[in-house]
Amino acid sequence: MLFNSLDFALFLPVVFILYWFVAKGPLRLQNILILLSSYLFYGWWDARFLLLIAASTVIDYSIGRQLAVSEKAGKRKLLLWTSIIANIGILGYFKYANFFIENFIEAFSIFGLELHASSLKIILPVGISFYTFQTLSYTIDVYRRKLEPTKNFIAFAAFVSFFPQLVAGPIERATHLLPQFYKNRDFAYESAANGLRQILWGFFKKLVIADNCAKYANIIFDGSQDLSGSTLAVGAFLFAFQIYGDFSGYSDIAIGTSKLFGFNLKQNFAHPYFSRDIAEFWRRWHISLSTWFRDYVYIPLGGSREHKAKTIRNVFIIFLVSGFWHGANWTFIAWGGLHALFFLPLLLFQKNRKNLTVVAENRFLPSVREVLAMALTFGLTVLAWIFFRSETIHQALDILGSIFSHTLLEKPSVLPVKVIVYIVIFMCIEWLGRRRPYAIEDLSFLNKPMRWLFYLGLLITIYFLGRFSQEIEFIYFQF
Amino acid sequence: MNRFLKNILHFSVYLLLINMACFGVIKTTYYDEYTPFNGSFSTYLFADSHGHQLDTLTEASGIFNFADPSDSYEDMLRKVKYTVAHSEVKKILLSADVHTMSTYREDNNNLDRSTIYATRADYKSSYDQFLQQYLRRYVPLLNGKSRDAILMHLKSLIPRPFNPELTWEEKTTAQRKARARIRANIHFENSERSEKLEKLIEEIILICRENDIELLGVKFPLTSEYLAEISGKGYSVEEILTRNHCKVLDFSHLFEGKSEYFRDQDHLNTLGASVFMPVLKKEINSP
Repeated sequence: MLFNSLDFALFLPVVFILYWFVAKGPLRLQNILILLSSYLFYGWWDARFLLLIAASTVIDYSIGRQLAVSEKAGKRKLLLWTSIIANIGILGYFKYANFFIENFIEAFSIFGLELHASSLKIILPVGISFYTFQTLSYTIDVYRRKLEPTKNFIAFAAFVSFFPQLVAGPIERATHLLPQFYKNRDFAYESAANGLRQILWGFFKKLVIADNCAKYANIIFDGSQDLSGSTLAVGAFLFAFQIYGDFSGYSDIAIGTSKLFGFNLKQNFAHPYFSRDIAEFWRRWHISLSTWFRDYVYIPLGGSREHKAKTIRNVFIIFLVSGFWHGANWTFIAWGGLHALFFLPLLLFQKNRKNLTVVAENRFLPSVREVLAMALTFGLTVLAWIFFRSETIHQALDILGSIFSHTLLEKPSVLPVKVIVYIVIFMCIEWLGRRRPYAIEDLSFLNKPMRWLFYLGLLITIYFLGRFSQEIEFIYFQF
Repeated sequence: MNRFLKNILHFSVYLLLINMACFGVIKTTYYDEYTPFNGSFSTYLFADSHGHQLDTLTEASGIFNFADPSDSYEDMLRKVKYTVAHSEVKKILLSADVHTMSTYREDNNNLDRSTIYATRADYKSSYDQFLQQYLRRYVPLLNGKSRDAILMHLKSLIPRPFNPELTWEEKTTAQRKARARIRANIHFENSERSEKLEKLIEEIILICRENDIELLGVKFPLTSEYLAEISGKGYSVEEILTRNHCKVLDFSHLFEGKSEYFRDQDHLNTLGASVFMPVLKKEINSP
């Protein structure tokens, strides 16, 4: 079920009413309702997907229970690896099997050996990368004794399948989200109102910014071979805002929806395009994934505590794996690799923790130096997005070749001024709200009638400027 | 919770008022514009804007013009079923223009308007019927097509400086070619034909066969410029009809070089329609 669908417009109020009015009281009943709603939400795409998520749930719950009674280090390690292999195995099969088959054949063809194998007809279950990482975090934390293994199967199943963040995150840690399923949840007005506001902002980002950018970014990337460097640069710029609006919009809707049910999810984006260097960008972009890789891959590998060669290796590993997590294509790996290259100088010169606070923290406007730093960082991310959006490495290199040629100075053949105006207004609002988890969180400076007028205005803006003639899927669903 | 519900209800009242205003606009400017059914004829024309241009001129020839701009074969199927159930139809004229089986036409349709002719059987489930037939219609705030119709209406209210658009005939050859190219690119943005629409044509053919209704395909007149642009393009609607022993009347080249008969690259004007009607009448009555 898509957030931007009529189905969800009906589903959410119905579940909300059942949750607070019918299932209110015994916690178990509320958890059962969340579980059933989540399975309905997920099964809306394809009921077969439910088998996978159920399998993942049963495996990790059982392993968690086994870990609770096992004291022997060897057995505990075996259980951990069973969970890792099962989860990564499912993910690997559904997401990466064809990639490996194709590349295996390609590698053999270099040596003149022709192998014949047809690609497997595998449907990629939406959100598989997200819930796999979420369940893995549970087993790893139980193994590390950071978390008490749960005895409550319903709570655990609801944690794995929690519908607001099931298909595109934020990837929640079991240590943070699972305990919330054990506690009684009381309705809090401020939190629910805040949630609705965040949902509204999420829809604005998705329908007005992302989907309008998508229209032109798709035209430009699909016809990239015939377009000038300037047009391709416009396409890359628009894609940068498409993916930001799309993904952070989804996160806002997910977090806002969770608040309506008394849950608190982690912030996933913190105005990343105001970052002054790539290290700061990665502290602000898809925070739940980057911290997951930091805690479960980078630090166990030694992080930056050991000698430089190992640090460089570790940085490349997490960025390349992070790229590969996004999709079974060399373009994503190149995207990750490029970010590793941008990040490394900062790490090696110990500048990676230079910008820990929000830009222009106590000022209204940034300094010239900050503007230049933000522009450079944004430019680098746009450069990397070209690989992310391209179908092949070859296409990405062709686009870069065109951008860095004399055709960059030509008048772009596609220049959606209207959309660029939306982006400018959007970024101005983001700038004003950059100290908050999402831009319009604090509207307390407006009195109630003005606040309501603002909400109505935003709704009307979404209605008239948003693209919803067709329900356009969120980009991150494919990951 | 009470405060929350009170505020939600309060806010919903404003939304309801906006929704009612939007519905008021689209009801008169969009939904009511869709052709109402008339069951007193024995011959019916089903087409998109190419057929709609004939307006009520068809009625003198005993044909009810049931065509509407942007009607796809899915809309036409609903109308055909409705017509069969509510009239003594003997003959059906169905658009066989080359663009009608494009994915463009599949996506750009009147499914939100032709719901008035649909029944439960036209939907996957009762839930789907509720969404499409009621929710999308009566809650325009949840319907992108309604939004587009409102925007179009609002734009039409903005007074424009007096700058009459040239008629098709007054345009230069270069202007006509350019317009024809743009239109052809929209109709044939990709080479894929819609498999869904292909199945629906087959269904229309089957309904006609089961009800002993004569089905004729009609290809409407087009300008020379547009014909040149679509040369080699198009999808085999004609082939499907002839394969099923249905006659196809091809008028696409009838007015080649006669720009005075056209409103634009692929639509007749009133003069063209009045000249075309006797030709159509003669052809459909010939054995």
